[in-house]
Amino acid sequence: MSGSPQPGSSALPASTADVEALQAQLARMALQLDEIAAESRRSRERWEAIDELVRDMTPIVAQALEGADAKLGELQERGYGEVLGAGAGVLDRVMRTFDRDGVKNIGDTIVLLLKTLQNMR
Amino acid sequence: MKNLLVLGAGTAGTMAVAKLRPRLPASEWRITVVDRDDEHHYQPGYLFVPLGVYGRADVVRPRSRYLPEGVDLVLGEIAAIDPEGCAVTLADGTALAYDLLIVATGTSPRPDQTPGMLGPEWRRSVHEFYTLAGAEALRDALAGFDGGRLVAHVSELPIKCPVAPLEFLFLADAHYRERGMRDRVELVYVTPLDGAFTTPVAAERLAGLLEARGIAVEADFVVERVDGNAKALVSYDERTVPFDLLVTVPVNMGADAIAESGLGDELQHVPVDPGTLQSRRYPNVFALGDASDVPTSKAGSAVHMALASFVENLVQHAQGRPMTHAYDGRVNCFVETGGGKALLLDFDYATQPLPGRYPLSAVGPFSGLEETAMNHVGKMMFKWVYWHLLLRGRELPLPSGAPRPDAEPRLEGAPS
Repeated sequence: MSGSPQPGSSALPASTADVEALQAQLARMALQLDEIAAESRRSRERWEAIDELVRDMTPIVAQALEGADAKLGELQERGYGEVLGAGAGVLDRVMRTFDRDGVKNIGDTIVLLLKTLQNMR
Repeated sequence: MKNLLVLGAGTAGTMAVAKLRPRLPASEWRITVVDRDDEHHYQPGYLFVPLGVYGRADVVRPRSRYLPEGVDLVLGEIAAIDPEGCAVTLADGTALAYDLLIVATGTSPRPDQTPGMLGPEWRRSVHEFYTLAGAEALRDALAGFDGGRLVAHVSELPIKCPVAPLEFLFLADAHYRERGMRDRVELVYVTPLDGAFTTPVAAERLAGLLEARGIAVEADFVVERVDGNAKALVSYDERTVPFDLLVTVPVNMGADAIAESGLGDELQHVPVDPGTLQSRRYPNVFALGDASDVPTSKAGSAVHMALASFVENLVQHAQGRPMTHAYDGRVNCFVETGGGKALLLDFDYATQPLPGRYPLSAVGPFSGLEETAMNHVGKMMFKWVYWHLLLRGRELPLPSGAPRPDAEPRLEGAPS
């Protein structure tokens, strides 16, 4: 009579070899479960760390933005906005009037002028 | 199998085993950590408890969560250390033998060491914030404080985080300004030092900050007793400093078991070689962090800075080889100055706190000896760095050294 279970009967292993194979399979599964549990713990820790980082950063970023907003408002009040706007307008006119070589020549001329002024001191 | 026994699962003990476990083969070395309970406290956070910035959940977590796999945690009070017999006995009688011992039991405030401190005014008008219970009691006291003389006081040095009482005053100053009642609160700093801090450069800088905020300094004040009835501190030279609310830093001492073992000095700290942190009396005993007598600040960053050389040395020692690395006493700490700013102190055994940018010399973003908003960000983010990187022994994404001008003066008495 064969050691294999008959169809319809309960699936009990019938030989020592079957039992050992089952044991080895269970041991492998236990190891895999252990690895999955460890990885799951590490994942949870990573998410907790990210969550905490966001929670800790939120008031600090809000405070920094408030400070930056106040500073920008102060600069705007002192007229930096108009000056920057006018500067952008000048740059735009230069770009529309001169080609690349022309801009380079203007740059060289400005440097020459500055050097001359420096040497006059 | 050899035994590495670590007394204390605080900042020093936890960080040390996180670094040492991967370096000492598990087949040769068992690592055991002993502590009295399973509560790890983020002690730098106590500063923020009295003004309600942090609560218990920010500063207390289970120790067991932060110890790496392959390290045994034993909970129990240390009853005795026998350095001759290489064994530690716990209060329940458990005996733990060791081949190498790391003492990381820290240092604790001892209000019992100053007459009158633990009198009827203790936790009424006399407070401390170096324990969580003390910080919470101070929080409640400050909530009911509507003006008067608020005195921050240092009993004796060394103490843990020696800038913390100054930070408390800076935060109190900012707090009362925000509430529009600064004119009703007189802030006073009382110290046994001749200035605001231990090193001259930092002392000058911090004295300037105190002066700018209208915080008075009573220097060279060696406290003899606290007079609870008169609500005053009394010094040995018979000066008195009256207070409505006293925030004191009691004498700091190491664990009692250190004294009874013969390992400690008069303050129950373990005398060690400042470079290797090896006990001067017992070659198989090391002391790490606040438990040692190294002449640098008692701060978590000192442990972090010391670990690189300490771990290499301990591994060499465990292998029977000579130790070839040395800790230079380096510490850096953010000093909260209120109003969303902080300054950074960076110094070691030989070098005074330096100006300059850190960690990148050109751009920072942190600045030595300068009050900046970025330093404040560094201070507040340190809690996250502590729980998620430092305690787990992970490397910080920083270059190893801050900028160090060559011409800085050496400090007197610094170990060479």
